[in-house]
Amino acid sequence: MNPTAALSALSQESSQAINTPALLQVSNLTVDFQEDRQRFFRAVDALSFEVPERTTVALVGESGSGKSVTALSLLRLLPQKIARIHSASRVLWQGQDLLTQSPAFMRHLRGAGISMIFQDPMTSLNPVFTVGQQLTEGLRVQSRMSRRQALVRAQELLQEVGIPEPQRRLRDYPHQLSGGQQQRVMIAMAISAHPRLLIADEPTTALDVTIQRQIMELLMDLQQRHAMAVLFITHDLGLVGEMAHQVVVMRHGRVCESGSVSQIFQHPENPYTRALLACRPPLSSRPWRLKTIEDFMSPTQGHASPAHLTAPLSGDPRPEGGIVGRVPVPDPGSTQRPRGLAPQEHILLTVAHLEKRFPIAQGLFGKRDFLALKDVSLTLVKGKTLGIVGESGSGKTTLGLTIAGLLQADAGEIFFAGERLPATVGQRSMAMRRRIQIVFQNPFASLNPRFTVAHILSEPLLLHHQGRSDAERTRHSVQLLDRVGLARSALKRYPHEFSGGQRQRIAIARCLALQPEVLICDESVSALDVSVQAQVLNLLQDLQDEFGLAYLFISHDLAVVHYMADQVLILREGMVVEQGDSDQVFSRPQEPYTQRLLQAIPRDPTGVL
Amino acid sequence: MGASNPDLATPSSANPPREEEYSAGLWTLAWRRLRADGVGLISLGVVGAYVLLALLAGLGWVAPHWSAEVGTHYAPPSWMGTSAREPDFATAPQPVWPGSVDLYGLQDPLADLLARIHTEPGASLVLIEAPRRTTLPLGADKWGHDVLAKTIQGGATSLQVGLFSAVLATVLGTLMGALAGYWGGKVDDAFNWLYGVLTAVPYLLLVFAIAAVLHQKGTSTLILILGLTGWTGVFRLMRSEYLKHKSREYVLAAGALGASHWRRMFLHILPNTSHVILVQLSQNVVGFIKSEVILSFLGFGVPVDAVSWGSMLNEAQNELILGKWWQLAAAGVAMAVLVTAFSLLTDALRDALDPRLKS
Repeated sequence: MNPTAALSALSQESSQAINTPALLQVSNLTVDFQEDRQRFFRAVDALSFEVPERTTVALVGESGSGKSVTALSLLRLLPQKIARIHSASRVLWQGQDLLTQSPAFMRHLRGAGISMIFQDPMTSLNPVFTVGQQLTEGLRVQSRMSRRQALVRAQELLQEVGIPEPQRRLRDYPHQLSGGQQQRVMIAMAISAHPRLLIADEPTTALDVTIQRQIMELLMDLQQRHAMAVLFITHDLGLVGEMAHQVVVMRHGRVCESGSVSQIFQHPENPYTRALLACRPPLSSRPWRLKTIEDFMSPTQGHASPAHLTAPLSGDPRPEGGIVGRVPVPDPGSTQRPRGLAPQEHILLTVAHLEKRFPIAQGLFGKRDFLALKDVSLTLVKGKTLGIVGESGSGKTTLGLTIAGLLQADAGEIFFAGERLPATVGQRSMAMRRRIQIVFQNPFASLNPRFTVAHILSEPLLLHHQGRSDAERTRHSVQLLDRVGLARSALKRYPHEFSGGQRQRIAIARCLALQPEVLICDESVSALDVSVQAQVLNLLQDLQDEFGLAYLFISHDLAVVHYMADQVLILREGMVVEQGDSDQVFSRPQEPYTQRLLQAIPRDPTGVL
Repeated sequence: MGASNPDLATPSSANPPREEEYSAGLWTLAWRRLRADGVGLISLGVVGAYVLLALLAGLGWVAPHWSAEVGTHYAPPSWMGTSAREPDFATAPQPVWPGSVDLYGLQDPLADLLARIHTEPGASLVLIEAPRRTTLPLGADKWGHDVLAKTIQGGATSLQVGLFSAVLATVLGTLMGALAGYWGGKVDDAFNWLYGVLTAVPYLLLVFAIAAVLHQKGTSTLILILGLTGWTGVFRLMRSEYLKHKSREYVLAAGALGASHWRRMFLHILPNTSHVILVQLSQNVVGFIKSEVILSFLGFGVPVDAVSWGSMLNEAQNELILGKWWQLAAAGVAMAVLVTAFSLLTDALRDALDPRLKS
């Protein structure tokens, strides 16, 4: 849908919606989770909001804000053993309190009155039943149809959600469909009993950006056609701008701010809302530093992460000493960061005609090769960033792992400063291993849970025989922690005690210990919340300015790559589609695939993001 | 759900303060969870008491003279009184012993043992000339051995066999599973072949085969037999753990830092599988105590100069026909309590060591 048309449509819609009585009224909803015998964790705290008829309300928040718990408690799907809803809570559905209704009533309501779609279609569909069986099951139970009637209706539904050849697809198993098609099937199931309210819990988070766009358009279309109300739960403000009429911003289980889309986007009052809007790297400009949540919140409010572990990061975190003179530090607020290559840059890493195959089983004994990388060539310049963009399955992670030597290439060569690198990390000399390091996507998986932070940071030093004694290595570890903005007290703690952003800082510090020249960032900020993402991106940028690191920045997030990269390489199905200076690729994409990718980026109609 | 609940007490705190806690590692956290688990704690106490008793018995501080014939023939437990009639040895027909036994050229397998008994009387068999007691706390067996002392000493043997063979099996299984899972390919194939062959042979047949090869009876033989046949379960689990962990990002990260294969296998991955190992170990102890009993019952167990719960049960099958049930009861109850406590402890350990640390 055209964004401006959507906006005008929704402004009419929302003004009309305010006059109609609310379909769903949530007031004072409070949910506690039992941690152990005595301790409770308050997931949702006195939450109140309304969903009027035929309106899309977006529930926005970062991880742990209680948005999914809210959705589940509306349908009373929370695990009864550990979740307690306070007796003062009210969930009024057309005047009836859902929290006091009988289980039989709730069973009928789910599907016919309120239905829900979940984040990951792969796990919400049962893999051992066909699409047809799963679709007709609900129809036969809820609408009491015969098998034949249900099959006809299922076919209509698949047609409606835009699945080609619906008759054939009915006999397919979920794994035979793509992720986008699976989500379409989930949507078909959700609308099969004509619900008045559709709860969509992060329906596009697990999908690629081009598929995300299609699903969003489908949802908007269905909402209009079926005159449904939609409760849209997301962490992505960009999507909210396109999709929703009204917005509820949540943090720590409480409502920060709520109002219409234009009000929230153009005149946000709550500092947290303002921070959320400002933390995303913009596509139109490239500020010297990204705004972080600390820029908006006063210290007492900013308790997103265990604050005692984070050392105070002033506006300019660079240590005093000779280095400062080398780094120009313009006014962070207004100055734009120039990107792109100057002529005659020093090329650090050259990858030529890289190829990687994975054998996959076929039939009983057969094997065939899956080509994950086909003839990939690239160069990385000292002190600059090469952004590698691609959708899932494009081979971008394989490329990173192969360059790091963690996967063995089947063909092609890698040169580091003119020297040919052996294919695997085991064959590379210790000096070579030191120079290329990698920061992984998931900071929860990349740190050994049984090691203390001191152990994690001193291991690379120990392996490379740096530091003569434990005391010296500890001293070095403290310096590293300080550099990434963590306090010394972190040393004696285990990874599970840190938040996602803090763990990613530890992972970065571990790489820095070896003073690498190339850092491969494999989706390093993708698992982080928006507000934390900005902090880590700023940290990476500072480190590049200070140490002249070259980054191979792998991401599916085009806005982040636009902000970070000097050069961009677009990968699709293991092949390079387009390669060039960041500004050139983003403003004048040559290939149709690149154009499609760029068009799919969610942009809010108000133009704030 | 919630609304029907009575008003909740206000939660102690919405965000429980964790700040003041010092970094608790996995074991500290596990211990905290185990301490909160009543059943687990009681089982730990029971198992601890058994181990302590076995240790004291092994050192000879408790029930050292189990082989002393202190009671009369099948003396009943004390609380039953001496209702059992004393057999009249004077009028009973004396068995006639042939002067020498014709062994048809075979060597007496017990010759060494008998010679030792004759040369050092009282070392293991203490003959007490004091009047035999007509009742004992848990009764007496055919020869008048104190069943209580026998149960304690038998427990020491059984626990020793169970613990050592479980350690052997777990170490073997872990090592092979680690190698197979980490290296994959040909190494994995080789170990899987061995695993396949071993598990394809019926268990008791395998045990008998190894017993025949080892060709001697004894506690250490028993430990070897059980250890060499019992590693398969641990192997399978550890292999899958290593398969899972070797492609985890923290192992990849260690590789990128330059950590050797050895370091990745045993310094990085092994501690992350320690909960599996511990649970397997304690499960194996239970299994092997039971196996020892079965083997001794079948006559493959401990030598004749030692006692175990298995050999007691073996004797008890003949006694039961005569209505002398106390030896069976003593060994059976002692074993049942230990095995139950160990199993419950295993369950509690599994819960306590759940590696899904709070994120």
